[in-house]
Amino acid sequence: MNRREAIAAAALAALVAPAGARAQRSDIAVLIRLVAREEAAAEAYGSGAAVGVDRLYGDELDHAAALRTHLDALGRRPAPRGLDAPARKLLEAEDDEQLEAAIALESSLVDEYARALADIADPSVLQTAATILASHAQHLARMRGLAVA
Amino acid sequence: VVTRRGLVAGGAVALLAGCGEEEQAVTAPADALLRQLAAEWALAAATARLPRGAPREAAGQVDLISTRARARAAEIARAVAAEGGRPQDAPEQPAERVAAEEALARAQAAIVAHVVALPSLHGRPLRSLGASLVVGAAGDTALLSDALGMPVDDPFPGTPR
Repeated sequence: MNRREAIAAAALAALVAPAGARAQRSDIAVLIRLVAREEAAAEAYGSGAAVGVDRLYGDELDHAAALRTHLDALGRRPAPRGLDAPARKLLEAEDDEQLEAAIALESSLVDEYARALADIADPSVLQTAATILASHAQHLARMRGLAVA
Repeated sequence: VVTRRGLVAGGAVALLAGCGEEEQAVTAPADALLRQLAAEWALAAATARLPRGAPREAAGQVDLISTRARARAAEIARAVAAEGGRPQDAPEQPAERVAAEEALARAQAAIVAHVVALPSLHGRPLRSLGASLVVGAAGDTALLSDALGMPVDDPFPGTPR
């Protein structure tokens, strides 16, 4: 490597490293937010909400576990945050309001993941988030089908 | 006065910003979009007629899904053109009467195509389009699978196999 190439490599490394670190911080922030949403949703479905769609509780647990695997790889283990507003609303809903509350919860999750995809840099995190978005889109489509039936 | 350090840093910034040849070779949103377009046309063709083995009462749902697949294809075709690509490289496919399993497989393949494309879709507008395509294809896959009596149950739909 000649002097010019060495300078170019050093300059590029200096620019790339902060950009990579910024992207990683952004991914971590997104992952922490999404894990909290999944764990809150799991808690709400796990309380016994009956909305006519199978495996909701298990799916949310699987999603949270997959997201936590990425966070573990990045050296982060955030504590559970408790219920967010849509999950609390489902948890507290009367029987005849549960489907509507679950639709609101899934709709908010679809919106959250759709926004998150624009902020994720790491391709493997992006793929995990995209497949979870697809799962919530399926929950939502089935629930809306039940609501109009 | 532009120093050597300034020139090098400027070149590096240009490369990072996607102006370098190497970056352009890696990033080909139009190519990714063309694969998504082909997947949606394949789904639209497979659901244009009631698939073999499907219950008769699934006809309305299947027809709706074909219509929405064509709408997604049209949206992708516009994005391909906006990215400088040629939508005609992934042309609309004629209607087919396929087996129900094949129709469902094409729906699942469309989700995979949209998930796999995301890293190539740079910038908020394209990522937003990518997200909406994932949502549309995934929702339709769930509805199609239920209508065909073959409900899919996967916590991570669209995972490449």
